[in-house]
Order: sequence, then structure tokens, then C-alpha cells
Amino acid sequence: MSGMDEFAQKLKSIADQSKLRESAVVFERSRSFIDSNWEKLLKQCPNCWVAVYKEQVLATDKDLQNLVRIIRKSGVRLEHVAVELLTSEKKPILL
Amino acid sequence: MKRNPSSSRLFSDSQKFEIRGFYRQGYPGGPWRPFVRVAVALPRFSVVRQVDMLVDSGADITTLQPQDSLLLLEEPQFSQLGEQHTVQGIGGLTTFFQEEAAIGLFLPNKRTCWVPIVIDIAEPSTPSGIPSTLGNDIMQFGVTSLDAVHRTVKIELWLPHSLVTKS
Repeated sequence: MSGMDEFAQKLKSIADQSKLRESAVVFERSRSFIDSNWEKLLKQCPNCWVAVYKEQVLATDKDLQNLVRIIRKSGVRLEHVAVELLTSEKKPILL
Repeated sequence: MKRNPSSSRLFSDSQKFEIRGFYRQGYPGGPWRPFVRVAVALPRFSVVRQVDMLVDSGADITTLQPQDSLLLLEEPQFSQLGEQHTVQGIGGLTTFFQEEAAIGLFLPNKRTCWVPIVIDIAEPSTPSGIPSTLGNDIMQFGVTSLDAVHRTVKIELWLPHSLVTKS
């Protein structure tokens, strides 16, 4: 078996175990909730990180690493969660 | 999958894959930015997740920012990542860790096309809120079309060694 075949098998195994394509549907719901409720969420917790699972706010925190610890403790599958920084700072980005 | 009509030697024996992206505002009333939704797999850690990546045609590399990497890796695993190095950006130097990865493009019929790359994972302790970015290490394989008027994004890649999985 070539290295490329082994790599492909490893990727398939990872994708299958995580149910990647099924997760896509849930992740889309979580992400869409943030996009649709951005201003409301921003008013509730300005300059916070927010974690959303489906249509539910799992947690908000000013510190991203704290937020991720809360998500992990919640038991929700991480692939389903969308995370975003709710910022009122209207700063353009230049990468 | 179609053959690229280009006569380029690079593309002569490649398969074409196409994904569509979208535009999203950075904040309400803010500028619209082009994104694609891809899967990022880190085989050494047996993890994968979806990531919305800002299409950054000026970047040499694809990056993973803390809001995404912290959901892929547990904090102690960051010390197991590959070589640490600094990358020059407009805002200055940033510390990244290099790691073998694959970028998954979602295709119809539950297929995923994987592009092996070395991804740069930002040091996680000081997240800036900047999105993860898709750079020229991916876009070099094809044509990226950004239509800001209709807010559509299309990336066509001609890959010489395609890795397609179905699940």
C-alpha cells in the first residue's frame, strides 16, 4: 500500500468516526444562529466569545480558552459547535 | 469530474474539483468578506472539524486560528505540534506551529476531496478574532473567483493526485 493510500484511509477513518457529513448539518444550524442573531447576542455580551449549539447559546466568555473548557465540559460534540467573537469594534482587517 | 481544458503541463493530467463559498459580514454593517466552508483534518491527532476560512489571496499559507484550533486540539496537544516559526503579516510577526493536515472540500454525494498541506496553527493564548484563512498553498491549484456584487465565491482546483473519500 502506498503512502498516499494510507493517508486516504486515515482521512476516511477520521471522517467516518466524526460523522463529518452529518455534523455539517448541525454545524450549519449553529453557525446560522449566530449570523441571524448577531446584534442581539452582541447586546447581551459585547466583546465576548460566544459558543452556539444548534439554536442554543452554550456559553459566553471574554476568554476563549475558558469558553472552550466550558464547551468541553458540556458534553456537546465539538464538531457541532460554532464559536465567534462578538465585537462592537468596527475595525477593518488587513492580513 | 472534468479534465481541465487548459494546455498547461501542470494541469494536463489533473481532475477538476469545484466548491462554492459565500460572503459574510465581519460585524453588523461591516464590510462583506469572502469565505469557504471546508473540513480541516489533523491526521496525527485523528481529529477533523468544519472551518469557515476567509479567502486570502495574498497569503502564502493556510492558517488555523484559535477559535477553530482549540476545538480541534486539547490544550496539552499544542505542545506536540510541529515546528514553531514566525510569519510576517501586515500587523507584524505572529507565532505559528506547523502541522501535517488535509483540507477537505465538500463535494456532492457525500464525497470529500482532500488536499494535503502543512497548515500553520496560531499560538492559542492570544486570540485576535481574525478568521482562519485559506491561502495560496491551496488556491495555487486553480482559479478563485470572487464576485463581490453577487456575493458569490467559487474555487476550482485541478488536482494531480486527488484523494476522494465517501462517507
